[in-house]
This record gives sequence, structure tokens and C-alpha cells, in this order.
Amino acid sequence: MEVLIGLEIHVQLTALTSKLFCPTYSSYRGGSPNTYVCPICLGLPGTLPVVNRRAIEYAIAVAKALNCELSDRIIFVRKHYFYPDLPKNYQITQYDGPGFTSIARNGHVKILINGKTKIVRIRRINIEEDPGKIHYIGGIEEAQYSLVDYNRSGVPLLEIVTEPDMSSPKEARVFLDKLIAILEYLDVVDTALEGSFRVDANISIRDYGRVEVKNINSIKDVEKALTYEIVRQKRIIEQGGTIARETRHWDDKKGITVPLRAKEFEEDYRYFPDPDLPPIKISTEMINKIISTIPELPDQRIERIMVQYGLDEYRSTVLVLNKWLVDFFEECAKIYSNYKRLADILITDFLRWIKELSLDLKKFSVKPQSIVKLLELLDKGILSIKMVKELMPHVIKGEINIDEYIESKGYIRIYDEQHLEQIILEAVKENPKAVEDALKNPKAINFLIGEVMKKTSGKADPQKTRDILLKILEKIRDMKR
Amino acid sequence: MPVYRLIEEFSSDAYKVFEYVDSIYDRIKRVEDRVKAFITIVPKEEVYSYLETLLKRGYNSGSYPKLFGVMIGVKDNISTKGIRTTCGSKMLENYIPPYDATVIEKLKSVGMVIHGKTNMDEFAMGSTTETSAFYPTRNPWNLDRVPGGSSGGSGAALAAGEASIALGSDTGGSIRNPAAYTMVYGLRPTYGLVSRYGLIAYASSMDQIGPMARNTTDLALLLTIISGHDQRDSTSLPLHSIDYLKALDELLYKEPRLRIGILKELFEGSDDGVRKVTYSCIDKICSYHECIEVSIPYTKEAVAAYYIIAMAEASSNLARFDGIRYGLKVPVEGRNWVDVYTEVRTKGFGYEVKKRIALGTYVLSMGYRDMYYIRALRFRRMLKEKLDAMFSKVDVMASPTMPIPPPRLGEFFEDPLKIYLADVSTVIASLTGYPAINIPAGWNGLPIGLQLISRPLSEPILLYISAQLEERTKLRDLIAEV
Amino acid sequence: MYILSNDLIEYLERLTLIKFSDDERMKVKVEVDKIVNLFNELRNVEGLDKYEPLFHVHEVSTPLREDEALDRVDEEHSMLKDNALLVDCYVKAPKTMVE
Repeated sequence: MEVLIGLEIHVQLTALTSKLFCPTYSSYRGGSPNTYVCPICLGLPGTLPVVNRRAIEYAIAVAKALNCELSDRIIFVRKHYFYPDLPKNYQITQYDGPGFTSIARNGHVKILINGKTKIVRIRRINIEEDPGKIHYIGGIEEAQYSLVDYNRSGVPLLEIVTEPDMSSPKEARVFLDKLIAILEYLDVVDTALEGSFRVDANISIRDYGRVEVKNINSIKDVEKALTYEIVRQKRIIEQGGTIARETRHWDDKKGITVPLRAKEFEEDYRYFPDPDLPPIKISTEMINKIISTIPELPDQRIERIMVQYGLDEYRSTVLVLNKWLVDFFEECAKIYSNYKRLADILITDFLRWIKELSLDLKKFSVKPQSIVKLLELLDKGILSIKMVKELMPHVIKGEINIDEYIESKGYIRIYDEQHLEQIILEAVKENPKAVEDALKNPKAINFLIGEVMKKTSGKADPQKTRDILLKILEKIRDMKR
Repeated sequence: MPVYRLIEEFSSDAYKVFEYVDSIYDRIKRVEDRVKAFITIVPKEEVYSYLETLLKRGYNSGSYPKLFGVMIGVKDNISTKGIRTTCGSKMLENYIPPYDATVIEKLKSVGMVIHGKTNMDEFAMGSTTETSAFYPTRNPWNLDRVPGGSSGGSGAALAAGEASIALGSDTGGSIRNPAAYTMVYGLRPTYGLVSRYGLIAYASSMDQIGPMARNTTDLALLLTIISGHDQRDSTSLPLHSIDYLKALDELLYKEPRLRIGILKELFEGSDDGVRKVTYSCIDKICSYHECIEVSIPYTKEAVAAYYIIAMAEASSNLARFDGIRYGLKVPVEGRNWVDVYTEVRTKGFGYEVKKRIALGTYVLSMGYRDMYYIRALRFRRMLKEKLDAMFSKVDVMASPTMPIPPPRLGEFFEDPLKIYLADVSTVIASLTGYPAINIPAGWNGLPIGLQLISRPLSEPILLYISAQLEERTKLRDLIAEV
Repeated sequence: MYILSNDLIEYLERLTLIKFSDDERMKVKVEVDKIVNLFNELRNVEGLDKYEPLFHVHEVSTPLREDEALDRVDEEHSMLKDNALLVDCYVKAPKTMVE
């Protein structure tokens, strides 16, 4: 049974200072309710919208980055429905249909699935205003009335709609990771902010009805919600049932999708061009100017990283999709040239610790020098890979200065090859029996290595110890001849 | 006293303003019960204390604002911070705007005094001021007659001497119609010349705020104050401000000879009395200018297109009235939004408003949209192109403002179509965004007005002809006995 | 037969959240017939399809606003306090659940 998944993503342009249609602060998070409001975003009678230039520029940049065709003008329309979070009882948005147009259409995003490139098509991008937010005392079911906070009302949103090109929850997640990376490269949204990136999904089994799942508010939940829904649909089909075309709601607490109450009649949104907003002509100059500000995007960067550092596509992709990480990689690469080792340590241990310590990449400041130092000590054999792994969290947290730390623990003497040789010679002298064994059976060398480890409280580099020990045993063998 | 005289008087003695304020309030006391021009009258004490503040500020700075003390009646669909703004509706009976419309800021910046909010058809939907949720306004020239609408309160306040000047708003004729019926001058500016920010929307693509006055000079004066680009209105034209008094003076000095198109169908379609009065009015200047007959073949169709577009936009603009953030309140506890909104909107809107919202929704809904809404918009473009072609031959086009004299109260209640069709002359400018003026034309027992339409931004031309006619008709600064 | 059938009235009532009383219904049916007949005048205009719909009378591009915020956070709720019911700074509104 072939699975078809299409996504509808709402992205807040959190990098903007003001709302889409009024000069009120759009960074409403943390503000007390109904303070980031003005007559316009409250929809007071007589107020009029005026379009935020930068919101348009961001939308165009995103459209270009998603390889879309741009419209030559921006037409805002009104979409009518009544709901307490919608101050005007219509939303100013865009509509792709006869006489109207979205800001952009027919784009695509490349994703890497099991080593193969796949194309996810973008159907369209709309620019629109966010509604306010409804709170309930108790729960939505129990509350006798709702409480509305209009701080979010009028915050600029992009609605990005894909074609149903993804065939598994994993593909959907990989696509979203890529999309998020693109948006973060463009620096238009901080997806770490709650509610800044919201996903609705259309899921269907080929030849069966399409189900829309709404309210997937965290990226983590997308895979879960999709998996649940696919299993549910497949089970119904296997039992000979049919899939009703419906809208379901993702209940993140219970981890299931539940049907939304079926609508009594087909919605008629009565779209028409907002008479308060004549179309905005998008000139070639404007587009060119915006294009000139678009930075290197993930696809270009993956390619460059592969060429410049000789990494494979997988490593390059993992690095590039985390903009902070790849920036850090490139900083390190200026002073360290074993790129593969650098990439590996960054995409495994380093990233793991960042996640484990729940550090915000944007806020902490580990120096490339510290990581490079660790790697150099590893290369020289002064630190074991085990030691590097152990030291990593301390270095990341900036708790230790590597030089001082190694000095204080006496590592430097131990890992000094001459010093290590002395310790090994001691161990050889103290364990003549083991030396005999080792000369006969190469595996018995491990006992001697163990002895060296004991003497150094486990801080000696095993490989280095083995190498030196092998040389010493060779000399003894020579002398015995 | 004309506003331009008041300015002179107060500039020589600012304290004379109190005498003037007293006289207006006395007049209101005497006639308002019968006329009902206002929905809200600002208490005299508040006007006094406001003027005292201005006087103190003026004394300290050594100069008074240009229109210091001039009392203006403002239509009750223009937002006034702290002064109740009802739009003539139960829905907004207790609504106090927390902000001023751009035009109100402008009035205040020149020292004008808003002493009252004038009555109007509910949400400007009507042309008699009878759909006001509070009470109808009566025509000061004949209390059995309507003052026109929807800015009927503004027209009546001027004709009854309850204000020196007034603001109205015009969507399909709502300034020109009451101006004609109350014997005052009223101008619908070019769409985009005056900011709509703060004007409670009826049909956004046609709404315009405009001046109403008892003479052409005052009209030009007020237009100068309220016009100009506003960044808060995306449909505001990006133009430099113009001093219309100066522009008018220049034209009166040069006295250019113009071509005036006489709109044949609109004269022929009018009542005999109206036709006679308006013909003889325009005839007064036809010896100086060149008057030629022109034809506009679509009249009923223009009314149809106007009402389709107006109702469609209104159905959207009036969606926001749900009683939550402002407006009529009903209990919400334990009830869902559909029930609550339905109660608010059913109680808050009057019949005419409900009808227009329903019809506007109908013409926008699936299956009817192309047949009505889109077709009306195609007609609008065709009309504009035809009008443009006509304006290559003439400078202005004349017609009766209203095809009938002011009706009696209640006369048209049973036939809404008849009253819609009376908008035949005024909707042409509304659909195309062109400026138009009502000039008092004469009497046929009742006030009769002449309308002139011109090209976009040709307000000076309209004012020029208005001034010429005013000079000949002497229909200026008229106040009804009541 | 009226153009505004009971079904159509009810449909429009649902879309507009406005109800017509029985008296109003009778009146509006008669009036809408006349008004829609007037609207139908447009069907007789020849060659209308050649013209593109004119949504905005001046076909000039909307001016754009720079992305700047007025330094204004409405701590006193001056935009709402005179006209809305506030509960803990929130605007009190009806339930959003439909039974």
C-alpha cells in the first residue's frame, strides 16, 4: 500500500520587528496578554492594513530558496470565517485561483533518503496574518468561556504547501529538517520559539480517501502523528473498510489522532481581493536586490563542503543541516586539517553532548581552538579516543582549560613517549613471567598493557602503549637470539 | 457666519470664540429636538475647557491654530478618540474609540472643535437617514421631509445652523445626496485624496470622507485641511498637499472657459421640477463656458453594479462586529461562539444592514460570484473607460444630484428599489473614484442640487464652477428657520 | 417562488451569523426579488466579458511600510478596556466547543 504525505507548514517570520499590517512589536512571546496590540491588529472599526516591506522581502527570499516561480504582484485576499481568535472575522491571506495568486508557486526541495536524492515539490507559498490565541480555564471541554489574547494577532506567517510527494513519516521528517535548515540559513525564523513552526499533514493510501491531520505543533511529533495515522488507515483498509475524507486532530498527550466534529456544510470562505490593499507590484529590481542578499543555502553548501573538505554526501548533509555546527566545523577546519576526523567527532560525540546537555547552540560559545586541541592531542596520541570522549562535555561546557587540565592530572608526563617508555620498562621488569608469555603468545601482551594502565591509573593511550611494548618485546627477542 | 469670517474674527480677538460657542449651543437647544441632527452632542463645558487649553497654549506660544474654535459636526462613522462613535447602529451604541481617525487628527491640529457626532443611516446604508437605529433626522427646510443620507445629520446640522461646517462620508452619494436635500455644498473627493483611516468601512473601494459646508470657500478650506497622503491608508494617493483655497482663487482669477457635458439621460430621467431647476442653474454659466450634451447609456446598470460591489464589501467589512472586542454585549458564559455571535449580530444590526450583508454574502458565494460580483467589476472597468473617453471631450459633467426632491419620511419604506434607483447620478463617481460635488441649484418648494463630476484630482475645477454658480445663485450661507 | 428560498435564507444566515425574524423574512424575500432583478440588468450589457474586473479604482501599487515598531506596548489595555470584558488581561469570549 503506497503512502502519500503532503504537508502544510505555517512559519512565523520571527526575525521581523513589527507585525504584518501594523507597526506593533511582533515578538509577543513573554508579553502579558493583550499588550502587544493596537487598533489595527485588534480589528477596531475604521482601521486599515499597511504592508510590512520586510515581510514581503522575506517571503520572496524563501520563495527563491525553495526554487519557486514568483508572481509579478502580490494580491492579498480576505478569507471569511467566524472565530473568536480572528479579530476581523476574516483573515488577510492569499489565494491561488482564477483572478488571484499566491506569492509563489511550483517550487521544490531536495532531500537525501538512504543515500538517494528525492524531490519534494512545493505547491505554493502564501503570506498571511496569524490569528490571536485562545486560552481556557480548565480545559477546552470544561471552560465556560474562552479567553483571547490578541498579542499574536497579525504576526506575519508564511504558509508553505507541498505536493503529496513523501511516502513515509521518515521522509516527512527529513523534508522538514531540510526546510527548517533553509529557513534558518535565510535567518527569517527562529524555529526554536514555541509555535513558530506548525505543521498540518495530508495523509492517504493511494486510491483511498485523504485525511488531514491538524495541530501537529512540534517537529518531533510529525513522525509520531504520521506513523499513527498510517497504521490506523492501513488497518481499516486491511479489514475491508474505507477511509472517510475527514479532518483529524493530533492529541499529543495521548499520542493519537481523533476526528474533528464533521462540518455540517461545506465552508464557503468567499475569497475576494482586500479592497484596502491594492496589489503590490514586484519589480525585477526588487527581486534582484533580494536575491543578492540570499546567503549560501544548504544545497550549495553541501556541495561545497564535499568538494572543499573531501567529505561524503552523508557527512556533509548532517553538518550543513545544522547551520551552527557547519559554521563551527569550518572555523575548526581553518586550523585543523583532518577534516574527516573533525566531521566525525562533531556529528557524533559533539552533537550528542550538545543535545544531552540541552545547550542552546546560539547562546553558548565553545571555541574551535578547544575542540581542535582535543583532536590534536588525539592525533599525537597524548589523549586516547576514550579520553577525548570523556573530556568533551567539560570542554563544551567551558569548564576546563585543556592544557591546565592535562598538566594538573599529570597527563603530559605520561603521554610523553619517553616517560611512557619508562613506565612500560618498569612493568616489563616487574613481570618477567608475563613477558615470557607475551613473547610466545602475542595475545598475552594485553596483560602487560593492563599493568601499564594500572600504573597510570588508566590514563595511558592503549595504542601507544601497545606500540611501545611491541618494540620493547622485539628488542628482548633480539637480545635472546 | 461663514468659517472664513470666523477665522478673521478670532484672529483679531480669540476670546470671541466663547460667544460663538454659546450661540451654536443656543441654536442647538432651540432646534435640535425637532431636527435630530446629532447622535452625540459634546457637553458645552467640555468644549469650553478644550478651548481654554488651546487659548492658554496659544497665549504661551503667541499664535493660535489656523481654524481655532471652529465648530464642526462629524459624521458618526468617523472614529473620535474618547467620543462615542455609533455608526448609527445599536451594535456600536456604547463604542468609545481609543484612537482618532486621521481626518480628526487633522481637524484638531488646526484647532477645530468637534462638538457633536451627526446622525446617519446605520453603517451608512441608506439615503434618507431613516435607517439610523436611534431616530430619523428631519430636513430643516421642511420637517416632514428627509434630509437625505447617509450623511443626513451633517447636512441637517448645517442647514439648521447647529454647526459651522461638517464632515460626511460618501460611498454611493452619501455626501452629495444630503447636501442636495439640505441646500449645502458637499464634495466627494477623488478616491484616495482623503485618508480613510478611522472611517468605519461600508464599502472600502468606494468610501471617501469629504467636506460639507454652506459656501464654496468653506468647502475648499475644509478640503485643504483633511486631504493629503496618509501612510496609514494603503489606498491613499501619494501626493503633495494642495491648498484648495489658493487653487480656487487662481482659477477664479484666470477664469478659464471650460467644456461642460450635460448628461442627457440623467436630466431626462429626473422629475420635472428637478429638471427645470437644475437646467436653469447650469444655464447660468453656459453662456460663459461651453455646454454640450453628452450621453451615458448605462444608468440602471450602474446602480446595479454599485449595489453589488457595495453589498459584497459590506458583508466582509461588517463581519468584525461580534460583540467581543467592542460593541453590543450579550452573555457568553456556557455558550459557543456561533450562538453568541448570532445573537449579537441579530440584535445589533437593523433590517437594512442585515439585508445588505445577506445580499453581499449571496453575490460573493460560490455559484453566484461570477454572475454578480465579477460582472459588476467588469462593468466598473467598462464604465471607467467610457467616462475617460467622455472626459477627453469635456472637463466636467453635470446632472441633477438627485432625480427627485427630498421625499417625505417613510415615503420609500415599502419600495427599496425606488430609493436605490434614486442614486443613479451619484453612483457613477463612486464606481470610478472620480470627484463630484453638489452645488445648491435652486428651489422647487424644496432644495434641489446640481452635481458636477470631473476627472481624478480635478477638485479645483469643481470648486471653481461651484464658486461661479454660487456667485450667480446667491445660494450661500443659508440657514433654515426650523 | 422567491429567489430567496427558505433554504437560501438559512444558508446565508449560517454564513453571516444573522437571523431574520419571520416578519423580516417575508419582507426580505419580496425586496430581494426586486433587487436581484435590478442586478440582472448587468446580464444585458453586451461585451462585458472583454473587460477585466476592476477591483481598485486607481491601479497603483500599494506602498510598503518599513519594518519598524512604534515604541508602544499597551500595558494599560487602553485599546480594549472601554469596550471589551477583560478577565486577567484576556478578552472574555464565548466557548469554542460545539456540543
